[in-house]
Amino acid sequence: MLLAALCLSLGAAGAARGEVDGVSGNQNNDPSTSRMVSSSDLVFSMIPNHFLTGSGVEVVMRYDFDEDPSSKNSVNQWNGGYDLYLKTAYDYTRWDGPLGMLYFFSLCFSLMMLL
Amino acid sequence: MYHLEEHTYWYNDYNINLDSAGVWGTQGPLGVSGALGILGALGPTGIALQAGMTTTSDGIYVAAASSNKSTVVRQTMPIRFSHDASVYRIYDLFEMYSRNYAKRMCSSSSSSSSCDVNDSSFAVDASTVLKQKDDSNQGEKDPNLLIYDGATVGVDDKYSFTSKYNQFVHLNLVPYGGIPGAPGLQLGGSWDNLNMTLALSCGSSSSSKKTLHTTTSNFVASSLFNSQKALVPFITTRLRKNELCDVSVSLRIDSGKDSNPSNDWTGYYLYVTGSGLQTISESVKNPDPDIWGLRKQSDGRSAFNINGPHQTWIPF
Repeated sequence: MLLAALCLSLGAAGAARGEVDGVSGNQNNDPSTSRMVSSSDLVFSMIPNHFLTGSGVEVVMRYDFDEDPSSKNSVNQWNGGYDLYLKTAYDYTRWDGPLGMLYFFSLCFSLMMLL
Repeated sequence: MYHLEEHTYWYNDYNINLDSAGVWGTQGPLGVSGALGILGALGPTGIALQAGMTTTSDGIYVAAASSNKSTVVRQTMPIRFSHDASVYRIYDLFEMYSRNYAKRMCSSSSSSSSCDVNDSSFAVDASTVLKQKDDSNQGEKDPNLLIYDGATVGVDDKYSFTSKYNQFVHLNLVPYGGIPGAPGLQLGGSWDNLNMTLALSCGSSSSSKKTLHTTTSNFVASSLFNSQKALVPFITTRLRKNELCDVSVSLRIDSGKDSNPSNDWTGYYLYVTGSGLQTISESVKNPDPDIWGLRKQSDGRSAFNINGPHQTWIPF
């Protein structure tokens, strides 16, 4: 109980100091309080979990190599909403012209005649 | 692009990460191959020669003074920005220095040392450093070279510069060589293992520089069935105005086969590309507009356009 209370109090104090994942010194990657550094060894490394540097003053953002970008709302999904005739909702808001409905009704009448 | 409100979940988008705050900023428009880099208008093939400057053997831009026969060292270039010439922008010229001269440059001038101050837009041509046995210019033994069994197997160099603006700086260390007599790399060829280390130390004064980041790449000798598993070393960081920096470059050749490496790698090129500039207008002097800096985001706070992955944030 006492240990749990102690851990809770330490955690609260850490949060008050602006710690993220137990690392202090940086709050939400604020450029006014911390400096951005990117390098070749951070971008690519053969060690799977090379971000664990052990330093207490760095917060490293992690990169998900297994992420599937098609599941996100990205540019390549903008044309995903097409139907059998490759028309989107935008196309259905266009008017065919004065003869558009005429062709539709004539098609319906011809189908009714076949029946 | 600042006029587009890119979403934070576009982490895997290559195009967005070409922003200077992105992962591949060093490849982007403000990187080493961009408009402000070695190939741009401010480089050795750019406007300097058109404006009447010449280049010395060390890579310094000099212009003839109109009053007498002496020459003036030029490190900046003013460009008319507004149509009526009420606003000028002053950019740093991008020099390609020789290794000997770049080593003598400093980050701040003092009365005791008469060295030239280096800015954050330059490159160092050390493409033949691993072929020389001593400092041929001075005729003395070069203490930065590591010589084993009569062959140069390594070099440790340090270059100093100062950041005159709040800017992004991209450092690139590019090895040179591969097959003797053939510049560049050759796929499938066999050459020695190369170990490269690039480090950046910065501080507000010469005595208070601390190491910001160190990156190491190991190029293992490739065979027909192996492939390289390292990137060419680069560091992208954000520097503040009047910050003094040191760049440390270390190369080690390791043949791994015998004790006498064949020295296929002949040297390296170091590129330091800064994105800062200075704006001068008749009404307001804005020495550091920081036009590629922080922007007010949709949530009201000022930040870089993207805060992507693969970034380390070091507190000031």
